[in-house]
Amino acid sequence: MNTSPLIAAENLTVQFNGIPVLSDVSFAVQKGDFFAIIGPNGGGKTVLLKTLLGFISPSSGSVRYDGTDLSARTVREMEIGYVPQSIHFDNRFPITAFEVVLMGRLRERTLGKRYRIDDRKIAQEVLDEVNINEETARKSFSSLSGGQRQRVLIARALASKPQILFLDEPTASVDPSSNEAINALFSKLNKAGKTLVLVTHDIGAISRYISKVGCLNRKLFFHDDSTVTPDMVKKAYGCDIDLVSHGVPHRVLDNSKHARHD
Amino acid sequence: MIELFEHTFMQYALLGGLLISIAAGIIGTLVVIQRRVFIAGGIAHSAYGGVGIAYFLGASPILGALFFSLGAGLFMGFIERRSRQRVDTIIGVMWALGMAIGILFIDLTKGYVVDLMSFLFGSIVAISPFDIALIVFVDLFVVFLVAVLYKDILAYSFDPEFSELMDRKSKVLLYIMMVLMSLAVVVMIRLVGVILVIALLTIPASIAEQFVQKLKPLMIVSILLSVLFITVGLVLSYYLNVTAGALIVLIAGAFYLFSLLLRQVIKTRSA
Repeated sequence: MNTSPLIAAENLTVQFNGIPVLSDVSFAVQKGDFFAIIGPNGGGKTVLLKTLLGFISPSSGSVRYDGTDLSARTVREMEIGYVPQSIHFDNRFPITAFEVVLMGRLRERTLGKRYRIDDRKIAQEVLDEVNINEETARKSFSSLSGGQRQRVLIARALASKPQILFLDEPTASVDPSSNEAINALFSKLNKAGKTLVLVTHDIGAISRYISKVGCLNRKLFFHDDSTVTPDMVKKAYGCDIDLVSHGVPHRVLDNSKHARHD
Repeated sequence: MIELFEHTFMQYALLGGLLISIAAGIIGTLVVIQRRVFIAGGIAHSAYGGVGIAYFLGASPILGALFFSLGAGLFMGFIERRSRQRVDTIIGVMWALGMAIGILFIDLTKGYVVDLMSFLFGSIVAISPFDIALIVFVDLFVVFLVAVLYKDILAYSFDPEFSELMDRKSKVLLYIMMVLMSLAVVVMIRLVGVILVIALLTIPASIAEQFVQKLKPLMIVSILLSVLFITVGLVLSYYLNVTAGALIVLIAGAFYLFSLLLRQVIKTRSA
């Protein structure tokens, strides 16, 4: 039996112009995990995701999937889904929401092949899952609200039928009611055996569903369960933060330590 | 006005203008939505280096321009992939370097005074059957590739990272795009000249994108606008006896300003 973790980051260091953005980040994610990485803005969360996806090459360290280095072809062909932050898109780009979701089918319909009826069916299904109706799907992506765009990008990732799903602040601009529905959707995917890696600066409502958590601020403070200790947060944010007042349910907190902290 | 088109040179000019609108409208749309206007300018100007060397060697200047702009385009694509930070500086350097090489080699060419102005501002009324054939070839190539790769080009232009995550091969689209841009730019140089290529490439698409929000209609509207500007510019330039390329761009620019105004009116009305 294969004992390698599904995703293993070993001593990852990423530098931009000699300035370290990530330093010595190591962690392991097992199949079926729901791994949340929290941390302040500018702490390197997006960079870490992009390094795990192979968009950014680390200056040292390695990323392995099932024991194989990220650069290998087999890894590139793994069923990896990705939800980027929706704020980075051009505000006038001529593409409909439905066309965005169809992009999730590109792994099946590679260069030069046309989308099939099946692809459109899948796109429709995943749009239903994120609660975007047909009329909205026909609209231009840029005309949608922030929350709708975010849900379209989630639908796009789901359309690729991923086994591993990377999420970059997936509920950042989503209204609270959709937020809960999306978190429930992630939980459902996770229970169906998918592995999820999520970065967020607001651990809030998602905390009930996660199985592992780490705090990232250039360095990753991580231990192998879903407990955030005040100590981890203090190291990552560089100051004390009262987690409870920020809406984190008690379950994620290490209550004994937190009590002492109080 | 009918007698105007009894001149063979005007027939060629009009035909060339109509045909070039196809490549200009399609590639122009892609250049605008991908925000590669500066790269298009870099390709156009570095082409002059090829023209100068071609004259020096006694070869066809359009072939020289083609080689130089293809080389410049592919190199810029490579640079863009390698380092996201300094791309604009490198484009700016190539832009100037290409022009400098062109001017120096033309200086070194003995007994040959080339009309630099016609290269800078185009000479649509001097279009030959060979130029027409070249434009037809480029049109066919552009239409074929964009039709076959339409969904991939749309996806890659919108989100290259996601496209590559899904299909690793899609990174070749960057280079395909550079080749298409170079081809379109070279044939357009003949028409409106190096300086005005960027205008004719970007103005129709910039007008269209204010009113159209899907890629295919955007390309079609850009082509039609380009046809309109070239035809009107050509006819007026004949009667006013001024450089056609410059007048075409002036008309396009006026329409662009008008479209901005119109857009503002529509916005305030619907608000």
